[in-house]
Amino acid sequence: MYLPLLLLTLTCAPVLAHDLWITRDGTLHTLHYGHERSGHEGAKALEYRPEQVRQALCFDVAGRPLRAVVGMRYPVTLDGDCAASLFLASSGYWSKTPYGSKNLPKTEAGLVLDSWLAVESVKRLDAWGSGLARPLTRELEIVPLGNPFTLKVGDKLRLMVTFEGKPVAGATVAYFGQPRGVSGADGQVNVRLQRPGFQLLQASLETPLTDAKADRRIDTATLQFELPQ
Amino acid sequence: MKARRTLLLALLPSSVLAHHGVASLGAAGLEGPGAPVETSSSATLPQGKWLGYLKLDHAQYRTYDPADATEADTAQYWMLGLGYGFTPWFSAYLFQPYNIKKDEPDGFESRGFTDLSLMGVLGFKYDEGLRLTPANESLDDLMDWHFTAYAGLTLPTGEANHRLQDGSIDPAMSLGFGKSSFAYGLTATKQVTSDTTLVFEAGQMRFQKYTYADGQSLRFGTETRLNAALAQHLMTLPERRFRLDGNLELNYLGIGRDRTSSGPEAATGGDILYGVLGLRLYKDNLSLGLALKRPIWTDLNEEAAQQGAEGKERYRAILTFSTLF
Repeated sequence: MYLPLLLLTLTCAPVLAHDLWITRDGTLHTLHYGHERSGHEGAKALEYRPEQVRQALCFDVAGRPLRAVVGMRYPVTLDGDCAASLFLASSGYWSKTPYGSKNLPKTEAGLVLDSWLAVESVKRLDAWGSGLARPLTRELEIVPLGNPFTLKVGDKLRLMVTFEGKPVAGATVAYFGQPRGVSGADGQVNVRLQRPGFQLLQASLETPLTDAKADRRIDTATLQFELPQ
Repeated sequence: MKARRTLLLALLPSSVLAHHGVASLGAAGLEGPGAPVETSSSATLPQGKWLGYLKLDHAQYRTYDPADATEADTAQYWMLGLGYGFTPWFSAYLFQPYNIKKDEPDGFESRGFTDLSLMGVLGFKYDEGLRLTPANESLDDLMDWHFTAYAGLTLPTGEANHRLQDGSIDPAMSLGFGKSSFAYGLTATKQVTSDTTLVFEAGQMRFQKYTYADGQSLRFGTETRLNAALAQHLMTLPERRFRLDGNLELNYLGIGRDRTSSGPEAATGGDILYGVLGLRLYKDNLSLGLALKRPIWTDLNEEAAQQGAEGKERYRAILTFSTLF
């Protein structure tokens, strides 16, 4: 069934132009934002406003929330022994004008060609349990359906994309920035792992907005983990 | 006349029943597996989608005796097709062929609509076990082995007793088989890299004995096909939704002897290996296939007496057009 692939190649790239990722040092998780992480490991990081980070969450392998200490200065940190760590951020409303993009709702940006609300999240997995095979939030989220740490290069990672806690269709899923598929009615999409070590998957979903501040909402979710050596 | 009996037998069914190029549903995919022009690939139609299809197969035959006006000169096999995806794993097709067959100047000519055909295609794949083709596949899923099993039949809607200009009936120039013929086969497709796809097909067509209005009875020999193809992605212009693939194919065709009421017919049947060089272009939801097909090895049963049969073409030029809607 080739039909969705046409759209897939055309719609995904702009949404995934920036990446969120989490580094971990002991129990300290740090949120990073930058250009071209997908294409170049460790490429330059961009500073972000810490207030854009709405939530920093820590979970055990059963998917239960764990207490963790959040540092809200730049770069935002989360200190805890998390099997899964998750940061949710939003840079707010954006309006495309003839003079460039402005970080304003369309009601305040003058002549507006396009407008959107950007919501982003990143989830890092460091251990696995069955509780992590279901969504941890109601935001757009990539959920592995099985233990990703048992996989090796060439294996398929079977994923479900969820939104508001339920499987969602139509989310474009990319592997290191390269679109690989679109989630079906069951939210599922499969991606073959092509690299050793660090893994980065991104999903994006556009939905119409009716709040008058923007035309649409663009959710982007990132999943990262590391294959065992 | 006898020498040409395989003309109808071998060419018409292959055009009618094999869903050549139809499987090039990659018309909708700028990425994903390629599809050859002649060999059927293992794609099924998306559920709820229609496929419109047009094919022209122009055969130019070798002629040997300028004084014999009954030597076959050209044949054009047109085919209109309509397909529908009932489920992600089952598609059905309806084909209406139109044939034009011409002998050398001063010889005979026949033209007209021939037997309508129906075909069903069941798609499945190997992904940690065999399973029916799912509704949604990623580019990585499309790189799994995919298969189809197809089966179809012709309906005797054409005029099998079509009479030539002299009032005679030549089964080779007829516009139908008189009775249903049956086709079945398997395809296998593997996209081995992002740019290269291998496709294999094995199929057979069987015919029933039919007694024509002039009293002659004939059962055409069974046809067996073994095809292998390589589709190579050459160019993509995503902003223009354009893709170009090159195709290289080997098509084996084994034709059994025809049988009349008095037994096996001389000057019929044999084995042919064709080489096919083709291009496939994709633009939006359209796909255009172009190919040149030539026999590169033949072992016909009575080679010298089979002018106009398969294996005796100078070339065949093939054009296909398909659109998904």
